[in-house]
Amino acid sequence: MIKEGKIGPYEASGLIIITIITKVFLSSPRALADYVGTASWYTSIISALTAALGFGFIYFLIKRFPGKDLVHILQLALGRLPGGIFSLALGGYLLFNAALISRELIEALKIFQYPLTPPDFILLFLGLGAFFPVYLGLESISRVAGLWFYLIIFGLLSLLLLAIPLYDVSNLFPILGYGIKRSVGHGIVRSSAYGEVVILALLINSLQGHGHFKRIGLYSIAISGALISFSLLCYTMFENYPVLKENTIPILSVAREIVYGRFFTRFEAVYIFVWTLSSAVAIAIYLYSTITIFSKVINVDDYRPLILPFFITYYSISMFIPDFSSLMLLVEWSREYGSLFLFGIPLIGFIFSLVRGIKGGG
Amino acid sequence: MLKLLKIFLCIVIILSCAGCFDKKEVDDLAYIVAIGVDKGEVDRLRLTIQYATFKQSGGEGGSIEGESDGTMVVTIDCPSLYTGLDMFSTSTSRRFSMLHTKYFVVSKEMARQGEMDRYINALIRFSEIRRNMFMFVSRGKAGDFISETKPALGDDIIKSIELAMEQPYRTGLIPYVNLGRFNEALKSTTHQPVSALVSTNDFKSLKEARHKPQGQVSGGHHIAGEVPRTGGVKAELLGMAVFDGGKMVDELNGDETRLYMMITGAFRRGFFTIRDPEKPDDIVVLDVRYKRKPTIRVDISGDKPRIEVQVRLEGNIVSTQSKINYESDGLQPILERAFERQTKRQMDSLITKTQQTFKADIFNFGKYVARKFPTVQQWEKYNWLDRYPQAVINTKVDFTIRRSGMMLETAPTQQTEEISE
Repeated sequence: MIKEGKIGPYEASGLIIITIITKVFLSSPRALADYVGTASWYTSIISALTAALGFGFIYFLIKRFPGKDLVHILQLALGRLPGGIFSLALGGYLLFNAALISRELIEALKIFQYPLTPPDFILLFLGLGAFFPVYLGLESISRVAGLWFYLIIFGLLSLLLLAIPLYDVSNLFPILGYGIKRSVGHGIVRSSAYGEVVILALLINSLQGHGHFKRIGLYSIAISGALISFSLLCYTMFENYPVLKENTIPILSVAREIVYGRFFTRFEAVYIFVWTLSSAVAIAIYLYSTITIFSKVINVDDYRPLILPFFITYYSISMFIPDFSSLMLLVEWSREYGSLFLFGIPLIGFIFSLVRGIKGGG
Repeated sequence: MLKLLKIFLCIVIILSCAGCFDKKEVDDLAYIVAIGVDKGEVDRLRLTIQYATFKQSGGEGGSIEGESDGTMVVTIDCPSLYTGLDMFSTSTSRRFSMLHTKYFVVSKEMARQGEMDRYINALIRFSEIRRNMFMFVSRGKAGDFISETKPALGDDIIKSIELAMEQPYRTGLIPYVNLGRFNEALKSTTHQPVSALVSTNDFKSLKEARHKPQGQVSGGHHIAGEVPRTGGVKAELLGMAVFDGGKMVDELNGDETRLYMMITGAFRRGFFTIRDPEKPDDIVVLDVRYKRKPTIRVDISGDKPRIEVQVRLEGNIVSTQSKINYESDGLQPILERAFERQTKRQMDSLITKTQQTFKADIFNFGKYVARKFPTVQQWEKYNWLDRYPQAVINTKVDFTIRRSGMMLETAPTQQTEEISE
């Protein structure tokens, strides 16, 4: 049994919210604008509602097995081997996401800030930033998330609010974007954007009971949904819809145009600070979740010796992506099919536990 | 072991803080202030850049050709903008940086070729370029405009340019257009791009009266390069260039630019000179600003789209030559209606010009029309930019005089009968 320590509701919510909203700093707003045009801001609300529904199934599953985390529940519901395989698939997806987010951040930094620095060099430092919190354990990661939570939220909101003079409400029209059907469809498919809430089911024994689990999960989805939707609303008002899909790093483009007089300019410095902090937290929790899933599946009590091999795997996946276009394809694949891993696997566990009538503490 | 690792990491962090692959010392770079593009003779483009030399003007530093007022202006014929920068480096020890570039100017000749989108896309893509860089079209050579852009007061060229960019808000005689907004308009389905118009003034207009005003009293009927003046800096900003997509199709003078600003909601303040409604040989000067932002209503139910524009202005009396007491309750409305009539007439004339002459919705009426459509597909099928010339546009101007300055009444000038006769 891995000793993961205890984390409070605030820290757990902060951890999940930061991990979810990290995507808004990267290329996701551009992709969403490409698919649904002016409707991206409420498409994200549809995604959040779908994710809340998915979380509902996770909650009922967890409730059926008090005192058990998702890995053990899957092994009980599906059998040891199939449960292990499904758990490893979930872990693999989280590792893949860590690699994608790191590479997206690196590519964005290379385009914008460090054109001559080799990507592996940036990844080394970014990875080390995640490596040490993972080594120190869940309590350290969640304390860091709790510490940085307000800073990240304040940074994001202040940038979006400072850019108010750049917004034009008319850019929100035609209000239905490329059509309600397309918006709802993409909203449901892209519910994976909020899928990180499943991490709570992996950390259930570190939380303070099922009541907290439900509250933390729903609050996390609601708060991150509001933040992402507000960011997308601001971005949509920033430019006409044909131009929204042009920007590689949308929110950075907004931040770069903020000017107050001749002195208060270049607010992107705030953006890069917030962006890096949130990515570091997201990568750390992705890696931690992956490593602990693997440890639980192979029944190893100390996950620390696994950090280095997983770090090398994460590093290799991230560096294996040849170029930005391939990265964008993979990111889109991850957003579109991510729900199958993040919500689909717990749902399979829930259905099997119902069909097989398995419940209880094992 | 952990202790050793911590020490190793501390060393790595300390060393990496000293700089890495992308380190740039502030004085290792040459900061470009302005970029100008003309048609090339030897190669595709003639690229002119102005960069800061950080030398005080008036010193010994003027010995290099092109150097003056703390900046250097250099020109090169090259195949592309970025290759041109590399080519400039053959004669400069420092790397050129566009992190502090203030404006991009393209010659009218190039803008007329219809390839503006090529240059704008190239600029937008490059991370050093900021989208709030200003965008100009030069009626003459872009290189000449850059060479003649000098600080009239003080040594600081950057401050001088930045203050010049506040002109749209002080006078309304040039529009406020930056690279980001120009790029947006280029690709927009609701409107067409415009740009501030600039030129160098050879000071001949003052003597030759090349464009003698016919019944004009406003002073804003001129265009960049033709203001009748002498002395001061030769570079001039006045009027605007109108585009249809990437092609420049026409020019608007200062008065038309002010009306454009009024309709689009960008106008802040300006002094307007009109004929005295009671004594047409005399003039009245008004300090005009918005009472409220303009209201634009759209109806697309009929065959032709109908647009109602209402502009609400207020102002102060600055000068009345006729000494008629327009400050009084009875006469104030006469002046108000006269200004409304004149502004409406000019506004209607400008709108007709945009519909019939260059067929481009520069006012962004399209954004109000787009609100009537639920989906992008339906909106794009409506094809607003092609429909704009058929639109029926009605304007209404509402003007109120608020104050009469430091004089509440004009007392008559006393003179002998001989002089009066």
